[in-house]
Order: sequence, then C-alpha cells, then structure tokens
Amino acid sequence: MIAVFSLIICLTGCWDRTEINDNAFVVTSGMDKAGNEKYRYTVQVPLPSSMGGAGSSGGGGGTSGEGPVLIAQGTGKNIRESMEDVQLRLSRKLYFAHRRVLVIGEDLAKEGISKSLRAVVIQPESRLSTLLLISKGDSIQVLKAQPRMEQYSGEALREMAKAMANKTVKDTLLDLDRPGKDPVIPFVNVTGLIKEDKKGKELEIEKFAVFKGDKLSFITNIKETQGILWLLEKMKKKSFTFSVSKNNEMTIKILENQVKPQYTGNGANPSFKLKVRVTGILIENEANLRIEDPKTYQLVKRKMEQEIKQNIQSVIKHAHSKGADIVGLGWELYKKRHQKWQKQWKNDWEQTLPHVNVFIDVDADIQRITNSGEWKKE
Amino acid sequence: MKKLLRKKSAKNQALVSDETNKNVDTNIMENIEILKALFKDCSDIVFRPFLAGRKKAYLLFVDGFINTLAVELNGLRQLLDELQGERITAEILKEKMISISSVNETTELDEVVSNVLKGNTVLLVDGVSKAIIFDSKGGDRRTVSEPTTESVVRGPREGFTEVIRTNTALVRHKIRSNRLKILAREIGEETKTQIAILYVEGLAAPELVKEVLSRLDRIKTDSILESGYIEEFIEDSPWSMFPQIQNTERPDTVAANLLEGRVAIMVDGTPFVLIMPATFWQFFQSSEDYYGRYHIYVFLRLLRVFFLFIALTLPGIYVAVTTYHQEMIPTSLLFSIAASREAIPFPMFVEALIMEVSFEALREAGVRLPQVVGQAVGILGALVIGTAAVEAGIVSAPTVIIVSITGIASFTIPRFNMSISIRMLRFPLMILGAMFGFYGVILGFLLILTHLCKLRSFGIPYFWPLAPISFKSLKDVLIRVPWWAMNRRPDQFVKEDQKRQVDHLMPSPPKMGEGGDPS
Repeated sequence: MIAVFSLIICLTGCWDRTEINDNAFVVTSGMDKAGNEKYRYTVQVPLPSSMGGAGSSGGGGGTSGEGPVLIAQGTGKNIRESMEDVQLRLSRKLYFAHRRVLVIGEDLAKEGISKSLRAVVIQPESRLSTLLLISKGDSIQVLKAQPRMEQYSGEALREMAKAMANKTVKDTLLDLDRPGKDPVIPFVNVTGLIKEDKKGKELEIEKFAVFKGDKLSFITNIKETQGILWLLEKMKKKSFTFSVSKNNEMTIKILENQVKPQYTGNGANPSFKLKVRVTGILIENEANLRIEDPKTYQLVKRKMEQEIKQNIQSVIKHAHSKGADIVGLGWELYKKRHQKWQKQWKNDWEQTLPHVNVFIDVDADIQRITNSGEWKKE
Repeated sequence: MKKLLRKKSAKNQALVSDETNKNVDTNIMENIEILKALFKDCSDIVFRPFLAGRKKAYLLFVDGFINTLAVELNGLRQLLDELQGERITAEILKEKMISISSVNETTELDEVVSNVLKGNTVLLVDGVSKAIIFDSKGGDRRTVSEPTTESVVRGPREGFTEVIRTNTALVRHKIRSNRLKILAREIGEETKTQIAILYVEGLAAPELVKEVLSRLDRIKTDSILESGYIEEFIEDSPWSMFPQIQNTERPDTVAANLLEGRVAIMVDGTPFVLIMPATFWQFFQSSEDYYGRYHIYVFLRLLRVFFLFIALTLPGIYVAVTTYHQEMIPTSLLFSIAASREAIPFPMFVEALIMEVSFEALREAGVRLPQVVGQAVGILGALVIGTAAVEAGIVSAPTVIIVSITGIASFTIPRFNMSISIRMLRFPLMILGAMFGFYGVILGFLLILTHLCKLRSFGIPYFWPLAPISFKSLKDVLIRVPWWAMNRRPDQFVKEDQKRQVDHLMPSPPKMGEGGDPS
C-alpha cells in the first residue's frame, strides 16, 4: 500500500521539472519580414557560462566577438514556425518568460504588426510587460549591437526604452484594440557614441514610429518626438530646452507633465481642446534672465509655452494628415460621445481626422531655479 | 520482553519488601546484618560504628550525599554519652542540636533503607527499638550559575541547578507569596525521583492543576532521569513534532509563567523545568523580551516570526522556484544562478539536499564534541562547505547562501526544541517543492498549519491567541506592549483573577499646577 502510494506520488510529480541549465532564456527577440509571406525570428540568449557569474570559468567577451550572448535566427511561414526553426538549432529549450524587449523590424512594421504580435504574446510564457521597439532596418542589427555599458544589447534596449517612453506590448495591444487610437512605439537604430563613428555598435532611441492601425505610418523627426513625449506625458525628469531670445536658450527640467483632451464640439467636424500642464526647474539660464521679476517671468513662460505648443502642434498635424490618431481623440469621443461616434464618425474617422480642430492650451510654470545665471556687478 | 522484565522487577520488589518489612530490633547487630545484606555490594553506603556510652551505635548514610555530619559527629556522640543511649528520641535531638533541621524516628527497617537512599542519616543505637533519622542532605552539587542554554544580555544571571530544593527556593525567591504552592511527588520505582509541581493558587485554573497531577500519577516507570521523561509521558499529542511543553533553565521565566496561570514541574537531578500549558508563540519569546526597551523587542519578535518562515520554507521555495518557476526569479539574478550552476553535476534538489544534510551534520558534530574540538569542526565545515565545495564545482554558491540563511534563521528561534522541529520540517517541504513546485510547498505549509491549529496543550489550543483569535491577548504575542499597558493576564490561562495591575500606569510628566514648585 505504502509502496503504491509512494509510486503514485513519485510518478505524478516532476513531469514538468526543468533545471535552470536546460533552458535557454531569451531576453530579446526580433521579428522581421523575410519576403514572400515569410517571417524571420531572431532570439538573443545570454550564455550563463560567459556572463561572468561566480563559478563560471572566466569572463566572456572573447568567445566569438559577439559578447556573452548567442543570437540565433529562424524562418518560417508564420512566427510560430520560425520560432520552432530556431529551436532546431539550440540544445536548450527556448524559454520566453524572461523576454524583456521585443524588436520589430521596419519592414514588418510597415506591413502590420498585429498578427505577429498576437502570435508571440499569446503563449503563456510571454510577459505583457515586454517592451516593444521598432528598429530601423532589420531587427537583427539591433540585437547584434554591442553597447559597451551593458553585457548584452537586450539590457541596454530595456533600460533605454524604459527611460524613453516605457511602451510595453500591453500598451500597444490596448491601443490597437481601442477604436480611434493609434499606437506610437519608440524607434531604435544603431549608431556610434561619436558622430563620426560610422561602424558603431551602440544603440540609440530618439525617435518614434507612428502607426496607423497596426501599420507603420511615419518616423518622427526631433521636434515631433518632443511633441509625442509631451503628449504621452513622458517628459517628467527629462529636460527641455527652448530659446528665449536669439542664441540664448534656457533649459528646464520637467517635474510635471499632464495632458487632458477635452471635447469642445461645435461645427461639422469635432474640435478639441488639449490642456497641457507643465512645471519644471530652471537648470540652465544662458540668457541670464532674472525670472524673479514678474515681467521677465511672464516673458519666459510665454516663450516656453509657445515652444511646447509648436512641438505638439507639429506632430499632431503630421499624424492627422496621415490619418493616425496618436492622441486618441477618437477614443475620447468613443467614451464621451458614444452614440454620435457610432453613428457619425466611426467609419470615416481617418478621413475626418485631418479636419479635426485641435486647440492646444499650454500652461507652463517654472517652480524653482537652480541656476540663476550670471550676476552682473552693478 | 517488556512484560518479562516487568514481572521480574515485581518479583524483586516483593522479595525486598519481604525482608525489610520488619521492625527495628532491639539487638543492633541483627538490624545491621539485615541492612548489610540489603546494601550488599553498595560500596558507597557507610556503616559507621561508634560507642555511645557503653552501647554500640551505628550511623548509616550514603557517602557523598551528606554535608554537615563531620561537624556534628562529636556533638552527637557527646549527647549520646550523656543520655546513655536509651532515652534518645527525636524530640531531644531536635531540642539539643539546632543545626539539624529535621529529625524523625521510625520503627520500620524499610523506611531506614529509603531514608538512607534519600540522603538522610540514620542512627541506630543498641537496645533501642527505633531508628532516628535526621536530615543531612547535601554533598557536592553544582552551584547556581548562569544558564548556558538561555543567555541574556539583560536579566538575572542565575539558573536552576540539579538540586530540586535549590530550584524551588529560587522560584520562592521570586514569588514571595503563600499562594505559590509547591506540591511534591515521587516517581520512578528505582530512581525515586523527587518531583515538584508549582502553581500559584487562584491564578492557575484548578482543573489544570488537577489534570497535571492526574497525568503525573499515571506514570509508573522505573526511572525518571530528566524532565524530558516526564514531558513525553504527559504531553497531549505524543506523535506531533512540535513541543507542547516548554522547558527552561531560568527561574524568572518560571516565575513569570506561574504568574500567568501556568503550572511548572521540577524534576530532581535536572536544571530543566517544564512549563505547561505551552502555546506555539511562547517558543518565540525570550525572557529578555520583557526586560529591555519594548521598541526593540517589538521589532525582534516580528523578526523572529519572519525568520520562522524563512527557516521553514526557504529551501523548499528555492528548489521549487529554480526547477519549476524560473519566470519568478528576477532576470539578472536568474543569470547569476544559472552561471554558477553551469558546472554543477547534480540537479538542484540533490544539491540543496546535500548542503542541508551536511549543515545538520556539522551542527550536530559541533554540539557533541568538546568545545575545543567543536570550534575546529566549525572552521573546517565553513572552509570545506563554504569555499572548497563551491570552488570544486560540487555545489553552487547561491545554494550555499540559501543554506546558511536558513541555518541562521533557525538559530533566531530562542527555544531549542522548537528550532529542531522547524529544522526537521524543512526537509519534507524541500521534497514537496522538488516534486510539485510551489504547489507542493504551499500544500506542505498548509498541512503544518492545520496540524498546529489542531494541536492542544493541556486543553489550550496550541495556536492561541491567533487561532482561535483573541485580540486582547495579542498584545504579548507577535509584539510586546510596554509594561504599563499589560493590565490583564492572558484570559486563556487565568479565568478569575485577570487583573495584573491598576490601569493608567503609563507614566507622564506632572500636570501643570500639580507637581509644581514646592516653594
């Protein structure tokens, strides 16, 4: 009896037991188009033995010139098949629960990300908090990059994407499922640390990929990027530089950044008021302005608000002209004016969007000064 | 086999009582002959003949048991000379010799025997048909010293000794009240061990005292050599791994527990005094908790509970997480674990088991060996297990860390017997963790919890006051409130006289106008 019971216990347990060293922990994966309805799937797996932990023999680096990571690629007719294709060439089982970054190649993004994204995320191991990035060119370029600061590029991507806008797969899936809202995803490319460095292996995230539906619409420029950051409320702790007079700039470190879209109705096309609230600390005062003086302060404030407004306006205009609703104005209507949205706007929102009137109301304040500028002797 | 033994000993007893069931004869040589036959081959029994006047007299005692005799012998002899031996009675001895605390007389020989064995001295005089017994207990015993198993930074430094009288006196020193009752029992056919049952009348529930006495009276055995014997004879659930009776070496702990309505049992020959009923949380309290500033002991008690969980579950969780739930480990930690495990030949469970077992072995070796050697074992173990095994690639460094944390955690439990139970129970949890992952660990943990909630110690729920919950008594379980807030005694033990002190004892600066300047 006891023997039978112990057999039952021993035989029922352990079936899904895996030792740590039988898993290949994928930290970053990339998806690309391989032409002709085919997909290419790339995984980045750190090699524990060369990660430099205790007990491992020596540090990595010199193994293959690729750092302590393994990069493997597979192709297939869909994402899952290409994943299995990768597995064929690995001795350890691919394990996706530790994937922190998912990079999608530009070409695939242009074609549409929804299908591949869902295919990847539907497996239970995947984390919805995985950060999503769009890469310039093929994603393998990004995975192969070797930022000097971190042990492998996945870690660098994660830190940078987090600092930039912290857009996760979950955010994107939500945006995709919401009517009248289009996703905005950070855009990563490979550069050098110095401008002249053409063969650099460092990473850079300084732009956004704006989507229309699940298809890539355009990549923002510097000014538009700033505008998107304002709109996403991600300017907190970042600094913002604006000019107060010719050749004289001021830099503000942002403390507070809030955006509230408000439907103001009126007319054939819906119009909105975007209330933007910004506060910050003055950290660079090139113009040596004494902002303790209310008059000067008003001037500085106006300049700052103007520049923020311009940034936001430029990106909204560009996006709306392409039919991409980055602010989620349609979503706002869906929530607040549901019946009208269903009847009137739902079907041709893309066509309506360029005619939507958006009034941007920026309210910016400088709360503190850490740099009072040069004091002139009197 | 046992039955046979029992029969045999019963027969022996019958024989002995047959012989000794005689009265003291007037002819001293006859008495001495019987006694000498009874004490045959007992080289420590001294028959000291001397002359009292013209009469033969004998002093009987156990060598090494007595103390004052050497001084008293001359006085005694003089007295006997005076009295010519005949008219000697207990009363006269009592009157004339103040240094002897108690004197009795008997006419039965078997009482002579039992009194000699208790450490009394027996005087037999020729022509007198009775024996004088006087108390001369003493001899070399360990003196009161600091208890080694329960050391404190602040608090009394005296601990119990092996002498029951000293021990009762130590408690009497703490509780100078006639309500402190000390009942006496004698258990053990051969050892005739003195047992003392202590309680405070009016605080300890009468049913509890009755229950303790009835459980003690049940015991019919040949020997009680330590209070552990008694503990195993009277506990509620003999199969349980958890101690249901607390033991202590400290008189202050006993006194405090008596004043909370508990009962203590002292056993002659051991400094470990039993306290009952005991609850689970009592084993996580040290007497010092009540002597230091309460803030730190609130923190320390919570810390002990936290480390109780660590000591019980950490190896299980570690094995479960690393073999089933790798997604739960933070990525960078996962890689360092994976890196250190890269060259390890064993599965995680085997590795952890090796380490835990060798840790237990090391601890055991350190405890049993002489102190000097024990230290060497400690250093050797730390070197071999801590460093060499990791460098040789037999176990991984994270496992060593987990095992050491578990070890430290189990040492934070102030009571040794509880710490052993917890340490034993982490092995089943590890096995469950290796077989079923987190599900197994939780399952095992729930089983233990259920068992704890079911246990009882002398009718008191073991997990009280957490289950069943008693909010009033929680003030002294996971935390300890300051003394001015401990106004009531725990209601589970003390039913009637619950008030410990007057209310509003919290000190505060004098109010304006009241405690003002006397001028």
